[in-house]
Amino acid sequence: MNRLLFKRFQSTHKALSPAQKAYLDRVIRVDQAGELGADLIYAGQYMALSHKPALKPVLKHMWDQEIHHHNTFNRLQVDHRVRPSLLTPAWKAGAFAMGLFTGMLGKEGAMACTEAVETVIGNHYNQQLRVLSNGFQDIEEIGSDTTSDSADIKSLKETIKVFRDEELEHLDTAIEHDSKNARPYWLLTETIKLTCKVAVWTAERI
Amino acid sequence: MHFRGPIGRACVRPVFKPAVAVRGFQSVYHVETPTIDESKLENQILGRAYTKFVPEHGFTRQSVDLAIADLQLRPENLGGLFGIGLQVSDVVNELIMYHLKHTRANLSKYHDEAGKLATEGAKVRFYMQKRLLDNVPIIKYYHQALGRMILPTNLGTFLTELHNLSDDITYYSGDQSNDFAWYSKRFALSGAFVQSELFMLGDTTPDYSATISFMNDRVSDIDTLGYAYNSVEEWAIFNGISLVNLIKSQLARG
Repeated sequence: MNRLLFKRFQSTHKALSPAQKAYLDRVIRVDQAGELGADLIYAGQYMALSHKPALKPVLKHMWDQEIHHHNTFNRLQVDHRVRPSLLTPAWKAGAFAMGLFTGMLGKEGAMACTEAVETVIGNHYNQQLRVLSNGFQDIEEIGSDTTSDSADIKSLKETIKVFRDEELEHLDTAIEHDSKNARPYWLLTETIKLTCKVAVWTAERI
Repeated sequence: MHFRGPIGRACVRPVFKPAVAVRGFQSVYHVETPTIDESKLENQILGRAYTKFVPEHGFTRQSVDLAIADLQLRPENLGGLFGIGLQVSDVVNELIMYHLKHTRANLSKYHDEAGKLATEGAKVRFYMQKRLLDNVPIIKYYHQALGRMILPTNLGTFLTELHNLSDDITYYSGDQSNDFAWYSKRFALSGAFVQSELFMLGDTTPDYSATISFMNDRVSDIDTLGYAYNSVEEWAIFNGISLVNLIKSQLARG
């Protein structure tokens, strides 16, 4: 993408409005920070729980998917010249600590953590998809009167859809692996949900 | 609403707030607004003043007046131009901003040449050198500009533009950083650039070779610092993992 820009790539669509730009800026920043967090939560859980043969492949599979999500948003952040979250070091430390802590609570604790995180993230991605389909209908193509999504907006939507589905698969996996048996279930999941929501709110802005 | 007297004067006091866009999301599929919109009359005046009169008369009101005369415009019809559209009476600030934006936009001419360089560091040096040498035509009067840039009321705007410059240079050089390094790189580069510009004011060597080698040293310092940071981080992570494994093995022994 970097290369394309230098070769005076022919744009296909008219300019985005400042509000649309600001929104996309936020989307990429918060999703990058979120996937970084997910990556490191699984890193922490994997460190705490990889000695259990039954659990190791399950965690590894989810972790690999998160690494892919993280890399994808890293690339989008560089290509679209979005500023990463200033609090990245804090997200790294916090997410790893959260993964390690819930992993040390045992299998159920780790799965309850996954359940809480993926619930918040699933809703968060759905919210973004709603805005991306409602708030971006007025972008005109160059040389015609029709409106459409440019290739970048289209692929961003597709990416978020795929990632949302994968995050919700993780949610199902967590419930299959007895996340509801974690004790104290309510306190643990609600605390993690609240933490995630605060982190999302902050990463969008700072 | 109209106020008279001292309140009125306070209300209409112009604020220097030109359109320094904070960049945000960019996509190659969407048209970008140009750094300088040359179709605007005020930019044509500033452009004429900058290329033709600043090298002789400096960043002064006189350069703009001469440009207006040169374009055969009538100054009495332009009263609103710099006052209303841009909320600024001080046209000299606009002239300085024109210099900064013009030279920054100029960097995009060098992409083909820069593409032949191998490393990110080499590209950063290349763009920095081109940008510094773009100061040469007006270097005699550049102290005037710097003096105005650091006035407290102007500082914020000009710092934003400085950040835009270092952001452009790092992006053009192929920066791939995704975390805090994104910030440290840009801040370090802004610092190196300002230092080099100050050095350049007193540089008497032909073709400014001393400035260029000064700039190269500053950029090398940044590289060294980045390398040191990465090495320490790698060392810490390695030892952290070793420690965990040590504890695990001790626990497993019982």
